[in-house]
Amino acid sequence: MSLNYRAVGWNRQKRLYDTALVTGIVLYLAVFIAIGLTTHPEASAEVLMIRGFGSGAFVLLHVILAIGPACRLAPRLLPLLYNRRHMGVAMFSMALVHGALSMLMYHTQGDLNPIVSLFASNTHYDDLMRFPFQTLGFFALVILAFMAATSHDFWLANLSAPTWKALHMLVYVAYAALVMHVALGALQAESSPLLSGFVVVGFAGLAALHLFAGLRETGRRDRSLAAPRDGFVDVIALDELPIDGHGHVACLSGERVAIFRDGDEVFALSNACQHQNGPLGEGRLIGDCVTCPWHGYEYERTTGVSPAPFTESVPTFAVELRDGRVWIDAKPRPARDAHHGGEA
Amino acid sequence: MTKDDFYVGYQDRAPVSVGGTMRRVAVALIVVAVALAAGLTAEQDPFNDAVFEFLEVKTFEGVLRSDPVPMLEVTRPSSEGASVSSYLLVKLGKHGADDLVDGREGQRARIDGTLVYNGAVTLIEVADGGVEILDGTPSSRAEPARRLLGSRRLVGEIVDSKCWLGVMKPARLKTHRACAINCIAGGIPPLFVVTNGDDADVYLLVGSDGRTVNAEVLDFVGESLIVTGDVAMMGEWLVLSAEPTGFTPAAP
Ligand code: HEM
Ligand code: FES
Repeated sequence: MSLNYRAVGWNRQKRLYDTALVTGIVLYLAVFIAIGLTTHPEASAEVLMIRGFGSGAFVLLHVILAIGPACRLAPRLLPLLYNRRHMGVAMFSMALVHGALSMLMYHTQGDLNPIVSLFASNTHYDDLMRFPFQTLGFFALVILAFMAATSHDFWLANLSAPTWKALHMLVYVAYAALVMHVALGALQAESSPLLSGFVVVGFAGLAALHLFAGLRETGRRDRSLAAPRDGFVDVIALDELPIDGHGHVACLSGERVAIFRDGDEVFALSNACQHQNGPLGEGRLIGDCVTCPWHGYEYERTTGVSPAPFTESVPTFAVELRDGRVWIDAKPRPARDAHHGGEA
Repeated sequence: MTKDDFYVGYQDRAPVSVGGTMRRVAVALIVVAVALAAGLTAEQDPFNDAVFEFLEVKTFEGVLRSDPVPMLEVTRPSSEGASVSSYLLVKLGKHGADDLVDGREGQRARIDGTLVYNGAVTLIEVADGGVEILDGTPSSRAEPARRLLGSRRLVGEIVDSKCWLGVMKPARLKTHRACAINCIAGGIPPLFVVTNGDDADVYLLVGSDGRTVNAEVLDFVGESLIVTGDVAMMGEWLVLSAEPTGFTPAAP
């Protein structure tokens, strides 16, 4: 278990990102409460806060879930992905205020402990229409809390990338629970077509985005390559490889390989970033390193090792140029132990 | 190896084209979010104009009543002579005031509490230790206990009196059900509310023999119900006496 994680410091871009995020949230809540007090002067402040924070968190969750597939479809949006975890933590904070206020209003000061009350006051678990919808919100809030708490790269390094990624897939479980939380709660009491419209359009939109991005991905699965000769596969003509630092992705015996060209030199690395499986082939060769398009992890182009002090590394592939074509060894060289005899 | 418009998050400046795209995306997202906030909040269903005088403690003098539920009978001077109002009594939080009136039927008391009112009917949330007995000799009722209005079949919803009369908004339907169940289980008198447009008829709900039915109605709270029972007028209160075993769900 390694205690090394990349502590990316604060910089101008992160500050801009967070400024936009906080501005959006503050404006959302301010507008929700101010307009609410004007159009509904009899409303109580608590319910406006409960609804403002709850709906705000739900709206932001849609943005968070849309960013992934949107970036696959339009790579120009990739900067949104960089600090997406900040959105996640902000969304959790809003959801926490909503949940805490709801618990305070509806479940404290009674005969039951508030948590017991949450589960035991409305007991129609056997009936969909009468289902205790607040428990679904609680369930989602627990998942979001767990994700917010482990969002730091510290945990990513310690839980290992695949585990972390699997855990963070739970956000879809939380989203499903929240759709039901709203459908079996507010939608049964409120007649607003905008609220029900948002839930339906939001769900359909997210489903469509994920579907399109997935289809695009499958469609990109590469043309089949000729059978290997002495272990090497003829992948592409040298001239077809971009010379401006862009990469090319090929599929060799089931593994995706990121191929970059610098003049007459060609480099091949595993396509999967060690951070969160970002597609290295969609990154850039910058100087001696291939840079991941998702969060900017770097790998030295010949060794696949991250420059010190970082310790990640990806497998690399031997490359041979034969008659103007690029041949790549189908068998990867295992990822090297970082900075232990890493000669090129 | 140019960098074209490739974005690297830990560099201090993004390429100009990327910065421009991001600025437009951020502005668009914020505009859509704010428009949604405005729409969602404006589209909320109307709230009733019930009042909870939160944090305002006043003092009332009157006669304690325990039948059918804890009340304080207050005599109010008016132009056409004195009139009597019966204020429901409940305690802080989700607790009824049965223990405050136990064995004190008809005694004169001074009560510190907070007013909660909706339309013609009023409730006092009694402050902690807010009951002082002025005269322990029971006095008789100031007016005829009940005037029977007859049997009725009503379509409405069971709510808890404290929230409905103003402590919480909205205080009905599915979103409020768990809270209302907690309140009624804690001894807050249940009401049967029949809404017609912006108006609502409010009935104190008791069993056909006049007993309190809090524990028996918990399963029916916050849902559209058909209830058949006898309706009587008691001061400014309508009292509905009905058997919970006969409650049936109504199509919403
Ligand atoms: C302990 C956890 C939670 C509890 C007790 C809870 C409780 C409630 C209640 C009582 C309502 C109805 C409010 C009303 O319309 O009068 C509600 C609505 C709603 N909740 Fe939650 N909730 C919880 C968690 C969450 C989470 C984690 C989210 C989203 C991130 C969320 C999003 C919403 C939304 C969008 C609505 C509908 C709009 C609104 O009325 O606010 N809730 N919730
Ligand atoms: S996936 Fe995060 S940097 Fe590659």
